[in-house]
Amino acid sequence: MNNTKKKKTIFNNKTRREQFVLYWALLLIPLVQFVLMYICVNFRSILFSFQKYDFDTAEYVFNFTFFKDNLITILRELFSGETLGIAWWNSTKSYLLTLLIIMPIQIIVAFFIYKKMWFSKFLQIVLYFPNMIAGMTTIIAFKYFIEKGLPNIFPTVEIFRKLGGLLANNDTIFNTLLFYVFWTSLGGGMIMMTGQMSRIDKEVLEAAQIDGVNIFQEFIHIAFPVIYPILIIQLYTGIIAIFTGGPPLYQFFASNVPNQAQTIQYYFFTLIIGSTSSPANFPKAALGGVLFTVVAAPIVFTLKWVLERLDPNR
Amino acid sequence: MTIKKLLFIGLFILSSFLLVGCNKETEETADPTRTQVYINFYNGGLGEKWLPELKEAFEKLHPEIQIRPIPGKSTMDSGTVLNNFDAYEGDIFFMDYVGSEDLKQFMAKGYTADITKYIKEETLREFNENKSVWDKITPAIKEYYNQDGKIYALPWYQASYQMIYDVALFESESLYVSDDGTFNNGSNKSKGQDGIKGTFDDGLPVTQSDFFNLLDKMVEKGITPLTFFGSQAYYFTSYLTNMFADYEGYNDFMLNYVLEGTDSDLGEITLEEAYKLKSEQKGKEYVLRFAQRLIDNPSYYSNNTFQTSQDNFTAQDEFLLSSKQGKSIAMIVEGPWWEREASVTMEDMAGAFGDENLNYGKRRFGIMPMPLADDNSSSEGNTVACTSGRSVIFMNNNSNVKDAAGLFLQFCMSDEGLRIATAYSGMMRPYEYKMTDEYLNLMTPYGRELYQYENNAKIVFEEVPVSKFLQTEGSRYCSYLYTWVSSADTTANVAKYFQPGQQGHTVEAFLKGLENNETQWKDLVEEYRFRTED
Repeated sequence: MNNTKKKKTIFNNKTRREQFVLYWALLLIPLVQFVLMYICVNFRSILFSFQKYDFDTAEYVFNFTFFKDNLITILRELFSGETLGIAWWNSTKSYLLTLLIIMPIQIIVAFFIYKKMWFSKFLQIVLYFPNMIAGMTTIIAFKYFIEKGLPNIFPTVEIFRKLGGLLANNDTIFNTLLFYVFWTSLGGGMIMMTGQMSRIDKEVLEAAQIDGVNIFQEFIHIAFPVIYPILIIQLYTGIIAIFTGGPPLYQFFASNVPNQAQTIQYYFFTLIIGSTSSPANFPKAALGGVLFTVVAAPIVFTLKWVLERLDPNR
Repeated sequence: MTIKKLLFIGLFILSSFLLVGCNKETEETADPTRTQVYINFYNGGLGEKWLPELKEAFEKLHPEIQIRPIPGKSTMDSGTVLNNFDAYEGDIFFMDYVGSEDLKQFMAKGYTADITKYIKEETLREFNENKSVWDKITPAIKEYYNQDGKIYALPWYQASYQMIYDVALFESESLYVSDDGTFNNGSNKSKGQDGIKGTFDDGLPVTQSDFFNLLDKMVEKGITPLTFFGSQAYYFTSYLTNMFADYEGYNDFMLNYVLEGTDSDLGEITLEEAYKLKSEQKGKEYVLRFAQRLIDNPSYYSNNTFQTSQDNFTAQDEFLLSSKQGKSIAMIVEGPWWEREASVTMEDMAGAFGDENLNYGKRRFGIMPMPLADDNSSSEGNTVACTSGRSVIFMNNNSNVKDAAGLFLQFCMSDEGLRIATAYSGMMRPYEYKMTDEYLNLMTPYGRELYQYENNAKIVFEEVPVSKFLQTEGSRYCSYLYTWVSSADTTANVAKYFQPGQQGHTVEAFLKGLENNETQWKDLVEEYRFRTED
């Protein structure tokens, strides 16, 4: 007599079958999303980079030489000091702000809150406040503060009024927006890091205190390794943000951003959306996307590899 | 409740929302004994009242046809309709803005029906007129809709940017002038630019000097002359383009779109030489000097004008509310839809201040005529540059009721239909027709002023590439006029450019930046010639 239990499969077991259906029903949406939004979009983007818009027939025509034409157009604009060149520099500035200023402050403030130092609760609320309000509301409030509030609070400061205020003066727009990014970004990362730090085992802390560690050593040897996985994700995804991130220009100004304040993301976005868009821009915008991947992907993967090897938790 | 049930309920609710979104039923039910013609229309600045009124008048004449309007706003965006055309069931579309490239796509994809029969071949005898719809289209825009003799689309409405003033303020502050130049409350108005009593320009400035005298008078009285949506280029530059058209006149303005002909200053212009027009026509300098003189003096406009928190709606509110709160503002730069957009503010003001004269339809606004050059170099008569040449009407090629839809289109463009549409939308249509007192009385005081302003002028359109070159090889130059893009200011925000306190911002520098690159232009013309000439 064969005593081995028959293995339950979707063909002979109702529960397994139902689990199987439920599993695939749940997986179907992300799968379709992946096929449509990743495979199809990227395939179309690559195809676009070999195409040109024919104004006569209102259709895209294909030719391998168009890739070169589109590439030359982008590179010429990039290095000519025109909009794309300015946008490139602005995006880099925005990334450096995140990397060199926002992230270190996020870490310090998160540690400050985690250690429940003076005013930590106050800081927690104030810094997280912009993240609790809808983005557009924050933007409108910020605009009014900059344009109506500041000139009233500081009536003698000329720069707050000049040419319509900090957000209307081409020389000050981008730096004002960087301040907005700084102000609104502190909250999100800080919550993540504080949450991660709060997972530190109390026994580890007690042992450290018995060993006589000071607050600086506690930060370096205990808190920092705990938040390191979050930090490295922020670091290597930040590279992509050079091309896809930056201040929310469209929410602030729609299609009216002066050249001096444009970013790479905004430049390519407005090629295909809004009053400055045109179907003739699609090949250029698509090739731009392909080029970003070509540039960013090796950097991201290399950085990930390096940072994972530097992980103090290893 | 199991997860599966929750999942099922969630999906059911989601799909219900999606189905509701696709439902084309309007309030009135479809009458199976009649032919239904569905109309997808943009429900924006023109409002939606004009279409039910047209429907009612048409159904009286043709009770066998039932018109079923389907209003939409974001769903009527050109790109949205183009990309989801099969989801729309309208037989006729009234679209607010369809760029020339989008229009080509609509036609190339076979979405738009050939309506030559209804528009060009048949006269409007059904509605007691001898002309065809085609005969009535405003000449400046006609060729744009001519596709080698076939018609696939029609222009919808016309709208120009103007300086609009508060009549009550002009009366109470005595800002009108008499023929001898003295300011008064309107009891003794001058004949104005046209020299005819009883027209919209009576008592208002004639020349640029008169205009700035008026502004100085306002400032002296503690009134802020002007406000507008200054952070966006389009509002003020569209006004300037309108001024440019008025200065240059019909022929010279149209040269920018047909690219061949004779300019009154530059002489014979060929396609190869047309690159000169952008920076060398005298009207450009005239208009830029006007802008510089206006913007260089911050007491002429509100402090909010250039702030990014000032959009078209806040500018309208600032203008309207100023009569009751703070410093009065005399004028606003706006398009003709502004009054309808601001109607809620006016209704609120009438309620809050208990004054029915502040209400929409009661409050009086007038149109400031374009100031003429002091040296008499402005062209004769009025030429008005409209921005809406690409507001489009077309018939769905998939329609099963083309004849009924064609008949309704003809009715819309009959004199009666055009009068109804104008009376209930407050905006004119780019067709030849005259309003009657019966319909003028249905309009707001501002609407009547607008009719006078546009009816007596030659109408041109600022963004319609009539020349085939601009539609093809020269498409990059397509928008070069109306956007005022200069290498001195690539945002083309002329007003911002002339704000005081900026080094090197001069009319000369802006004009220099307007110059087209001769070599690039000629190369493209050569490509165009090579392709089109045998």
